[in-house]
Amino acid sequence: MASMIIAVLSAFFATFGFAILYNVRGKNLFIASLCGAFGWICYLVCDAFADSTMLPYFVAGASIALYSEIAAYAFHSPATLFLTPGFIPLVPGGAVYRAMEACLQGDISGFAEGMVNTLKIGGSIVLGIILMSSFFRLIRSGIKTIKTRK
Amino acid sequence: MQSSLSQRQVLDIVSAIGYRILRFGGEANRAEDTVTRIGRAYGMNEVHVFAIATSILITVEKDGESMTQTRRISKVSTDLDKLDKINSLSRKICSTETDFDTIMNHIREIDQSPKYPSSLGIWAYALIGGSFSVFFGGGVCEFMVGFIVGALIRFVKKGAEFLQSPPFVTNAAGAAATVSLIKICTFFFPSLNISATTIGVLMILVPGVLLTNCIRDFVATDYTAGTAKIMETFLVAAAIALGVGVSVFWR
Repeated sequence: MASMIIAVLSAFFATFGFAILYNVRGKNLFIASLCGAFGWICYLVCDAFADSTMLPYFVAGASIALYSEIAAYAFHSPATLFLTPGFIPLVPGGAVYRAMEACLQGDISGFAEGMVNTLKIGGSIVLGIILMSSFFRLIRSGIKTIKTRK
Repeated sequence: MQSSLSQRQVLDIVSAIGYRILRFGGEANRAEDTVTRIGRAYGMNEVHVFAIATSILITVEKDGESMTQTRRISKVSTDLDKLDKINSLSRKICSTETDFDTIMNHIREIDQSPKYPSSLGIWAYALIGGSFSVFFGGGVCEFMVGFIVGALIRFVKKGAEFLQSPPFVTNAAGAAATVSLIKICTFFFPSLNISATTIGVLMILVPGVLLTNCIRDFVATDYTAGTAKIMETFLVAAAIALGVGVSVFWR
């Protein structure tokens, strides 16, 4: 449990750092940092219940997209403002690194396995974001269509 | 809506805004959408706009006359705060009609709005390096090393940018410096968790804006813009991998 709290906290501060690099200012800075921590909380919760490597990443991707779309709607800011920093902790850096390490040691099957693992994780996150963002686009265009028809 | 602005002025405004959206790290679809909305709001019969990450092409048509402007975005300088401000400005001028000089003044104001000082960037790099080292399973020792190496990577990157090196070289140099500096740190901290620290610091080089915009462009069915960004991210990843490859020499 303690390690989970530390992971969420470090995700928060890492996202905070990235938000500063992207010049996010004011209250948005805090909201964007929270997005990274929220994504990792969703990952950890799902990881505890699901017996799968891909599902937690999918859920985490979908949840940060949901978070940023709601924040974008609430604060009239572009969703990218929150999604871009919040996405960073989910990037499968560890999987890529292990694949690269295997490659440098001449372990080609380990390298292939690592790359497939990376693609699996990356694909799950991206699918989660695409699903949620598309859903919000549908809602927005749906509301617009209904309004103009009246 | 009947507008007092001439076709030429509307074209100038939408080009200025579309150009800035792309430059400050907005998606291609956001630029296209905003330009179309403003053009329509200011009485243009047709607005045709095509944007990719590096260029935007706008044609506005009114009473059978069409005018075109293109802008080339040679360097993206990500600044989400200015993107936010441009976004709210375009919302505002869409809902209430504003005259040309006021809009141009607003745009100029946004251009000059503050950025975090460069010294804060060093702390941000250090914080990212340290936090991610902990995130990937490190402890206090890994945090400190990640913190210091992260700050040093900032100087490597700034130096490479000062020499106007191509992005591929910048990223490869950053990754190579990370691996080498952490190797040096193991002399002082023999029990250092090398992989956690290395992954943590390398996360600094992740092209976050590119990745997010690429996904969002695909969602908005802007496949041309999205594919170009995917290629760029793969190239960045290859550069980082190449940089990590220098660790072969330290074995």
